[in-house]
Amino acid sequence: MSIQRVFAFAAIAAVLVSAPVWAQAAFDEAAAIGVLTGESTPLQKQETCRALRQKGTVACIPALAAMLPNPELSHMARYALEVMPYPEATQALRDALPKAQGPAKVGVIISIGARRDAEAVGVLTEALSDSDADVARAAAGALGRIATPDSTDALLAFRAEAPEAVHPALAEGLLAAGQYLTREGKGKDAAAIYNVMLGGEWPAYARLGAFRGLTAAEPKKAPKRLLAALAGYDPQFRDLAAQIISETTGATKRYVKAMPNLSPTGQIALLRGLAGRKDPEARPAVAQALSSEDPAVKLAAVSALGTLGNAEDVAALTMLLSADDAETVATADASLAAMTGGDIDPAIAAAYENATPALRAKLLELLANRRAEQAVPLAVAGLKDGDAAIRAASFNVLSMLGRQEQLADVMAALAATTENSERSAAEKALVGMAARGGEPMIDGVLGTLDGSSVENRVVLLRVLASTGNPKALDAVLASLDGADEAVRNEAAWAAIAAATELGKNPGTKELAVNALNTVATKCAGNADIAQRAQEVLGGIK
Amino acid sequence: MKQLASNEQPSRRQFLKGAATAVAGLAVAPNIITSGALGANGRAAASERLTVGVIGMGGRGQYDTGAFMSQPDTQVLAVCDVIGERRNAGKEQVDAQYGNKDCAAYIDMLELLARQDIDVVLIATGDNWHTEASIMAARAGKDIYCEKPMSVAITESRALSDTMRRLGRVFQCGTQRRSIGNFRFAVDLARSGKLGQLTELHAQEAAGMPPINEITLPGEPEPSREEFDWNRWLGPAMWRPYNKEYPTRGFWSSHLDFSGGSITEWGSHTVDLCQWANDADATCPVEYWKEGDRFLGKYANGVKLVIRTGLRFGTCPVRFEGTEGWVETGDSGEIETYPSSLLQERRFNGGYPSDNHVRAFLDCVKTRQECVSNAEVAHRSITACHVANICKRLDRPVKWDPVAEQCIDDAEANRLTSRPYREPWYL
Repeated sequence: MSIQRVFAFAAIAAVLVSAPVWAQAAFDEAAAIGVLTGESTPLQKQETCRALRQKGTVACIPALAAMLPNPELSHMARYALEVMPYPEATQALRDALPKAQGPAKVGVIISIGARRDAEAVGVLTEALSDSDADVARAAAGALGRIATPDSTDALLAFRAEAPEAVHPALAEGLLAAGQYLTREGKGKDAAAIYNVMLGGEWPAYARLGAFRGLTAAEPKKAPKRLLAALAGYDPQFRDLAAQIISETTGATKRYVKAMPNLSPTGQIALLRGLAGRKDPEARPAVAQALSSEDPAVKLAAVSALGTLGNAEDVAALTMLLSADDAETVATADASLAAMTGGDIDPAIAAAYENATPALRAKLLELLANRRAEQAVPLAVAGLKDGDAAIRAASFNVLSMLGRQEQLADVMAALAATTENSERSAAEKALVGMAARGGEPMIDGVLGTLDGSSVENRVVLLRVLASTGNPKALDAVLASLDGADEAVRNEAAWAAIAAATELGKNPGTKELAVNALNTVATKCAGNADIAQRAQEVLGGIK
Repeated sequence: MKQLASNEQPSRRQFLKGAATAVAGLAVAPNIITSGALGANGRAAASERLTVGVIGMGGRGQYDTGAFMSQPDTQVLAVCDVIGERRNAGKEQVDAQYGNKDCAAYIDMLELLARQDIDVVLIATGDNWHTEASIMAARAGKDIYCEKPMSVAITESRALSDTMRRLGRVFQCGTQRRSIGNFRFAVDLARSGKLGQLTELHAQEAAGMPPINEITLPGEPEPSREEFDWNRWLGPAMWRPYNKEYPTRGFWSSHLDFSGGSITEWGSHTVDLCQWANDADATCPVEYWKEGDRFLGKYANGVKLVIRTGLRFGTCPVRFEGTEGWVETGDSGEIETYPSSLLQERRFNGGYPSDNHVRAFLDCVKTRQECVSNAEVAHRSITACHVANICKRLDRPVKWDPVAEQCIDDAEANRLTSRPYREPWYL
């Protein structure tokens, strides 16, 4: 919101508004009634209805009731009446129905429905036949909300004669009635409605809604119905059955037992449903489905093991990481990444031992993404592997999981490489390790600094600077005095980068300022560096 | 989610059309042919694309439309806005993306919803319309991505959730932080017990907004329907004469006829995340009260919800506290934990914005599965915000029964749980 708008808002508020009703100390209902019955403007009446919505008593109901048939005043009267906790308000709305016409009648019906007035079923049933489709639709909705035997009978009876424009409202009214009845513990009554609506003369969405409603209304009978849907030929019911199975609990054994007898599409749907409910009881059957001759069933099983699988499934899934088709590989990878349990990581590490080089690189990445400690010794060994992909994966593992204990191994690998890409990977690993390792790690890096080649010293200086540690930063700044220009320059840029970050934190701001001043002084001969140091310094100050 | 292959399945389009044809009792759809049908440039073939209609082309609507169009399997066919300027800009945005002039533009959302060639509706209207537009879209057989907050009153979002379930529509509320890595990580820390037993969940409300109000402005000459369809803009809200101030976001977002002010503005995200962190997607706090400038809630499991300002890390920040640690994060993507070692387990990329939420919705449309921000989840979150607002309006504590969905022994508070709709709109 712009400041201009805030002022405009404040000005309008000051001019137009007395305190809102909830902030008023006293509310004069008699005066409010006078506004409604007198010669006040519609807006005055509207504001009064707003207040009566919250504060009105039975005393104001006659005045509000008189407004209901008036198209201009009807909604504001309903605005107050619809929420009042008095039977007199219900009666007023019911009495207004024969007097109201057109939109006002629609509105009154809507409010009767909102109040679920069971005594209005008769007048609402009459309204179903109104020539105004809006009135008929509103009546169907209200009868559905009321959800008594009379109201649902009226809806069902009207279907044969209802004009097409009212059919959707009729179906929705009945589905809504079923929801209310189920929620109120009247599952049998709800089931009676739903069973009627499963008939072929009802549109697909109504039959699907009835099917879902039926499983909630009669939960004991749900497994049988859901299995029948899974075995059927209608894909919409099959998908819905899978969704309901995933949302509910119980009867897992029954579903599992039925799986072999289902068609491939039924099995796929069931596997999706079982995966969603995460019941370990379903796991053996899902694992068995990995052997399916149907590729789609097999893929569904691979996917389901992501939530249901255990360590026994790891070997089979890791083998699939070498499959020919990309979808299987991706699904197996996702499932292995998602599996939970303390024995999953050791199982993946065990699979590593006998894997091909290509698969080992994938397993290292997988273990790293799972933050599995088992990946660390494998990665240390992998740094010396002849396969470049394994070496790259090993550096990546250590960037995420490595600590000071692996410093010597990474430094050895850094010293051994002549490839820039591997040097970058080693640097990334060291930065990650330094972030986790604290002072001992920094001491370790400092200890290797002097004996390193120029190229590797540059790497180490950047690693030290990335920590933001004062001791590390001192070492970086000390390198500004070194003999090698490349090292000096790299140390300067690393110090600037570190100071930029340190300058954002009040606790390390002074450290940053000192470092930048040092860089600016010692690198005065390098215009780029000196200028950048001054810029960052200015930003921090 | 992957859509599994099946020889017996009809095409997705056939499936969607079956539902749409059955539900729609509206006007006959204009016969507009999908453009750019060849599936070039990495896009799905037209027959496999989800066709999209957009209702509400303000700033957020334009952003969301961009997110939908960036997905390879969508095609936006139509836009709708009651404001002419936005409607035209929306059409231009879509046409520019596809390099043609095919996008239809409507004033009246009923015309857009009547089109049987539209599978999915993106609703980015003002908050006043979110519930009713979603329900009408469901009745027209569409799946729905609707911006937050889901409702202006508790009974509205209850009706929305019930409608989605009984009509079998896929619904995703635009609480997109459920699909953003740093927030998901923070929630995971809370849900997995890594913070110990949860004690307090802090949700930031929007700062700097005007106080909630029910102001009526003086009437001004009403623009033409082409320029601004005032009656449609008001929708289910109480009628009043036009004033150009109403449609400005700074005004309507704090007016209780149209929205819920600072608490629903960000709380629809931040309280939602707290609900998720507390594994409370099927309920919400049972007691609400005010302490200083904060609104507090207490869940049945004893965990406190704190609606407040002053958290760090950009817009919509949250902070989850437990007996053994805490985490705080926000839209900047920054995240801080105690102990800091908790961050070692972080597996996510970046902060806001993210298109993942739209992608997840489209995948659910294809598989007919529930979305992470489905209607029931979003209803429960916004309910917590609405009850906090009732507490604010009454200036006293309120107790809430999450099963009956009523304030306990409090008739005055219960009057504020609903918003009587102006005819002909109904829930």
